[in-house]
Amino acid sequence: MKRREFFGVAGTVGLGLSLPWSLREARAQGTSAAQPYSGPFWVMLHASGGWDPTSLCDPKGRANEGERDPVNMYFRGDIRSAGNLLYAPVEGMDPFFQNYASRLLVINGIDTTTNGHDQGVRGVWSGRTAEGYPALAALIAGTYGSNLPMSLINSGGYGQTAGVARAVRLGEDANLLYRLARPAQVDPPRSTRSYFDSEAIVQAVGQARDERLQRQMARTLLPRMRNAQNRLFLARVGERDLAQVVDFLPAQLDRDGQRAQVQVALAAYRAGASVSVSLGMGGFDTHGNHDQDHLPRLVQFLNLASFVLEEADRQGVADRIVLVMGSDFGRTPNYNSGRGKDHWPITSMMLLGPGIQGNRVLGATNERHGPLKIDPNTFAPSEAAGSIKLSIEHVHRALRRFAVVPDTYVRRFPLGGQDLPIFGPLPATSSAT
Amino acid sequence: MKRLCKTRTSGAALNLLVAGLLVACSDDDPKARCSVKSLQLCQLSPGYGNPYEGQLDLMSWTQLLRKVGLELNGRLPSAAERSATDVHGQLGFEASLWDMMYEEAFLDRIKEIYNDSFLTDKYLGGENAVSLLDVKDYPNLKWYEGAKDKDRLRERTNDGIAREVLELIAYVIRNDRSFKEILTADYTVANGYSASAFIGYKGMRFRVPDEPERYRPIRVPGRPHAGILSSPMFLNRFPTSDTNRNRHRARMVYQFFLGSDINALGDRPIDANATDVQNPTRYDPACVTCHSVMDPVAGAFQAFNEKGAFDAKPKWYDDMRPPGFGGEPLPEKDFHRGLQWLARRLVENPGFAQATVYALFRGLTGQAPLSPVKPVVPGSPTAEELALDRAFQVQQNILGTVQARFVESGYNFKFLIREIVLTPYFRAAGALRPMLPDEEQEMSSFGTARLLTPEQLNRKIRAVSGARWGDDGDDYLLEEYRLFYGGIDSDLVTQRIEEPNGVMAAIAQRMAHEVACRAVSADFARDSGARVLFPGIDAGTQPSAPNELRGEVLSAAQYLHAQLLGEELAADDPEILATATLFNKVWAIGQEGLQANRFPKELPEPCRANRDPLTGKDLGERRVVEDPYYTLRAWMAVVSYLLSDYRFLHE
Repeated sequence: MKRREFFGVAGTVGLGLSLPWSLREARAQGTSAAQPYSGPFWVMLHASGGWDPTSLCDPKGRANEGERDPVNMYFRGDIRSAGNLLYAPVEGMDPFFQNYASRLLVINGIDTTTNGHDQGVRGVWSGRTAEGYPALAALIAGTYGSNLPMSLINSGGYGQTAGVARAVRLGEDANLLYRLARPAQVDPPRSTRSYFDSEAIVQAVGQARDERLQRQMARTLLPRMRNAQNRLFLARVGERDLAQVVDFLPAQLDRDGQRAQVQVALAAYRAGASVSVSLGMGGFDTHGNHDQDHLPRLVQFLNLASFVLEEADRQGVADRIVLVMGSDFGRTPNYNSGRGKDHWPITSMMLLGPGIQGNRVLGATNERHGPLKIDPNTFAPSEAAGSIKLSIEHVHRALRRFAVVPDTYVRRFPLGGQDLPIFGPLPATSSAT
Repeated sequence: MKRLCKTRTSGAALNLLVAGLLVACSDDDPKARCSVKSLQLCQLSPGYGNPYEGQLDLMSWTQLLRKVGLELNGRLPSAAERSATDVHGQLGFEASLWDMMYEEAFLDRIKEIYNDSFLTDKYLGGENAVSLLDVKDYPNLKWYEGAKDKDRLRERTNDGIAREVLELIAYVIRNDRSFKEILTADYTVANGYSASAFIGYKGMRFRVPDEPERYRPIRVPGRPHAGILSSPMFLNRFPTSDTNRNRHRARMVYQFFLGSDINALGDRPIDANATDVQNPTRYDPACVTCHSVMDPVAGAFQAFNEKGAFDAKPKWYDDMRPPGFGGEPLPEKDFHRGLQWLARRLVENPGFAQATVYALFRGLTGQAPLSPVKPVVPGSPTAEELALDRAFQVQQNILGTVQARFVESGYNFKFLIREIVLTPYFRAAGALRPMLPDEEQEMSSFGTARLLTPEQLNRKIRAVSGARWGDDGDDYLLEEYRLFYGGIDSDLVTQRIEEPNGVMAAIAQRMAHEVACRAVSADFARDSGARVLFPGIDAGTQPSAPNELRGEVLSAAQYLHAQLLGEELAADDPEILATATLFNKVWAIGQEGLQANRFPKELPEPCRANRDPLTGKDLGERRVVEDPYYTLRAWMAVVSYLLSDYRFLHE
């Protein structure tokens, strides 16, 4: 069966696994050829454990040596700036902020309303702390790449798809990718020798396999089993696209595993096979020795973010990367007895990409990193009637609008709060849910 | 006083036994029990009937036997088991199942299921587990230093310690002890290597006992045991801190052993600006819902610090709720053995039995039990919601009966396994007729249709094909492809992928080609009486014409469908015809290629049978290197076709 026919059938089954499905129904709805994806590539970078915005993009320094119970040990006067952005004077942070401030949108004072890791991760990446919602990366992948084999690449972070997209793990081993892209070859890419001497035989086996699955799907009546067959059917569509992904791999992958994952993800994107990737970096849950452990980790995180942008530039797709950075929640505005910092519900996010106006800071916190109410139109601190506290729901409502997530998903996974002009003026029909 | 182990207890172990450190075991007396050889001792389960008679098709006992063999033990039923089941139906099936449950492979599967929750395999390898312990608490911890084969002993010791939780579960099940003991055990378990680390004083001359890989119950001096709860592996995997104060551990206790998610008690947002409430976990309404449940149980852990080390004189926090459980306070005199106190109460709570049932149901069927249905419009449920509610009620009735029988059995885990595999959820084979949409909703939880995990698929390949997918020491699905095929590493990757994606489909295809390549030639290298895949056909049997489906080929195809996929089909079944047609097609292409000298007579190098694929033994004269009629390669194509099939990749 040709790729277009697969996509045509796959398009109808991608809508939801709970719906009854039959081959007849799918064909009756007609076929539509799915194109390789060419929209922006969404890169979600998660700092796992709860990062400290006051040591990053929402700096709070101490006034002087004598200050008791400071938020941080650095001094207020040492806080650095890049354009309109302020950042903590941590060694190693300058390159990121200086290079990307003009493109960077910082959102401070986001109230996650939780100190629990699981809830925090869900909240920051889906807009809701309770279970059951897909990650934003999955929503976007489901919107634009329901037919794509690797619409969502999951390499850490929050990977819950709630059935709207298929997540794959790709890893960083190029040889392994070649072996999967060419499963009938004995030792790709070193040799093209096949197990079967002839491509005609490989195709005969593949065709027989696919036809058998179609026969099985046609006669299976139990919905649970039929759904499982559907999923295998769709997965096999994706199998073929791996061959294209390897064609876009750089000649040499980076030795660092996480950077290699970024390169592989970008190759999948350039092959038109992927819409979003979720990456994660751990080590931020510093209940002890915060400054010693957390600050260098933040620098590593920013270096990884820089690498994403630099590598995208090398691969010619820098102008199509949307980078979203966040974490479970924040950290307390003081040190505990072990010189650590505990969980704190207020956090920040940083974003950049096409269509995102940079050199901006939205939202604010007070000197003890408590959230401030803001004007919902200007985002300036305000106690006037109608002022609000910025929440994860506000941010995700805006992200969904920015990414043009369709109403079917918005209704299926509703968020509270109201629409805010985070990414630009609101259309006249915007409302609170 | 329990009886001594019947197996030979060596001097080293005997010393420990005398010292009261090694718990005398009672696990060597093979009690007379229901088995294929003793059908008369079997007491059958009443079963569950078919709640959807006329709609839901259940597996035959023989089909169920195959499924259970592969799911639980990674093997096909033996000839005796098949015969007993063919002749005696449910009686033969249950007897076979009891036999399977006394094999170590069964316990390996159970350990896999429980590791998905406890994730203590994170500590396997190197000194990952050893490094969690302190020599102050375990003076003989690194007893292997200075030994001749120090690396091997270190690895065995580390892994023995790492597996403490899972092996305790296995010990309880293996010895038919009440499953409550996974929490109430006043001992832990260790093999010969980890026992040396757990007990003894520095410099003690200790010889590894006989059967050093075997796990025996031990008591660590000065440490009050409470099964899994007091295991340093559990305590480190779910750590605490000065500020967390064991709340995380308390939450995991509720989740694992009572099936209750504290976080779901109240999704109450906390307000960072609400600084006027002192001690919010005790007095702030936004916090109290969860903390009033969690904090007392956290108090039961007070004697164990963040590393799981024991403090005989713990002190609880004045600003926290008093330690206790279920409204009952933990007496202060028992603070140092709070976990033992807690364990006794946990296992008497009905949630313990239910959590065990639910965990195993999920582990065996791949699906979580259904949740109650809440209509979107209260009081006005849609037809779909009504159907889902009926499905929920049916399942609750069945699982409630499973739970009751489990409790009645004295919490015997093997009884629980039997009951779950007898439920229609595990036995569903298909539907007997097309259904209306709301009927489909109601039936949506039947049929396992579960994508096999990398571990299960690896075992199945060996069991049915007579070959393995790997080289030298490694099985590919357990090593390089593990994570990509949806597996976990118990450390950074802790959630399995349960639905196939493009990468997994590609792995399955590669597996099919490679296993077919090795398995076919290896099988033809065996005597026909010893063959796994082709017992009734010669390597050189070929069609006389491309469109002639020869009888021997059809029979071989039937056998392959049964052996690899569990499908018993007639010779004229369309699927058998399709398989035989594929054989003919590939054979015809091959014939043309051979005659035109485009294809070699020799098999590709990796497909030549020079060594037995399972034992590695040289095949000598029985080697299979050539394929002059292209029949072996045609069979490789057929076997590859079947190994990538939906029914092979799912159970």
